[in-house]
Amino acid sequence: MRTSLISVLATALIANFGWAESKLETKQIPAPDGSQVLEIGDAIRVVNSGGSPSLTLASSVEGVQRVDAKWSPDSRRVVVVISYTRGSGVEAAYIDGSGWHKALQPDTDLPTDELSRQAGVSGRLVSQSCRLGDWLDSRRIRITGELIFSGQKKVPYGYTLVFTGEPGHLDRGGFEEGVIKGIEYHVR
Amino acid sequence: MRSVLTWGFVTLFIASISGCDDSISSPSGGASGTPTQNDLTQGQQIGNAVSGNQSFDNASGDSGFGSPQDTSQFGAASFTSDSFAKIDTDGDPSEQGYDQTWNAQTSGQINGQPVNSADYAYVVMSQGQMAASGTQIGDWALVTNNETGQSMWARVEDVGPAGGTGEISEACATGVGIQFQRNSSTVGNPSVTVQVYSGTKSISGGSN
Repeated sequence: MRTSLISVLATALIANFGWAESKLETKQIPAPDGSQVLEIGDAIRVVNSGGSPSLTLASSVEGVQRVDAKWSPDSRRVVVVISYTRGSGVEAAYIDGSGWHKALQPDTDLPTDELSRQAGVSGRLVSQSCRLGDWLDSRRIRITGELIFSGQKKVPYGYTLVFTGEPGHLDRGGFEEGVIKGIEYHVR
Repeated sequence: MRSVLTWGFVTLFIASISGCDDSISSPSGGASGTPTQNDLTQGQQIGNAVSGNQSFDNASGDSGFGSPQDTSQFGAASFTSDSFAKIDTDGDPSEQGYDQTWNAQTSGQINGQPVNSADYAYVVMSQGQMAASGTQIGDWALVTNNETGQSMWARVEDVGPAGGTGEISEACATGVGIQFQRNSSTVGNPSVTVQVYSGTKSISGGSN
């Protein structure tokens, strides 16, 4: 009983530190040419060198555990992975002749059934996470991720996120869908 | 910081004691076993869910968040899904050790604490679904049991994996008459329609 109590108190201590420090870290990630900065704070925004917002990717970060972002080498695109405790999503901002746009990778891109079949894993999908890898060029970036099914069965996967150059359709959240797309999905 | 630690110690100590009691007997039934009556959570324990085709005004919302006090600004749903129901027990400390998918945390919080699945009717969305529909944590959602027509109001309080649909809290499942076991498996294959209304988080809830 005493050992159990000590264990419980230790767990509680760790858990409390976790909660106390779970607030999202404020970050500024400058584009390579310095013309824009990705600001991560109470919101996630692209801000120009004068400090004015060019685009808001997320107006709230409530519940967000981690934000991973990388600018393309030519400073014209930034890809952002927004992660919660049990799920991640990929968004992007890019500039063209008409200004800054925001794009979203739709959930339907992720071939969950095919990846789990390839890995020989079944069950209920409990969580999914992903992280940014390296840019292959200014239009393609590698992404790695992990699916976790019930029973802690894990399927690590990878793919390439591509800026298609095709016009997308605008969703209710103001994101263009179809502008970024995942290809070459595989089990790692 | 000190008060947070002290409060955390007290809360988790109490939760742990009850957890110790739970662990004395392992849960009976399970994914492949036959559930006993004790393993089943009965529908309609929480909230007075009503039957038939529901409108905003007669959907039940007596669990946790209640019902939105003013639905006149809601308009059309910004996100709708129709799929098998899955029970999210996250935030309910009594489920630790029973549900393999259990998580102590929820993305939403109430007074700095996870949203207890047993006490609050909530729904789960993916980050992509939320972004595409302009939804934020705390927005209202109407959940309907497709078999019985029972419906109740819930809030978006947890974020799950890409493509996930039909994930609802224990209180929400109970409110729409869906039975489930302590391991979070539903009894049968009930399906639910979830309609989410973006931009509604600031509308307060209350009893009808």
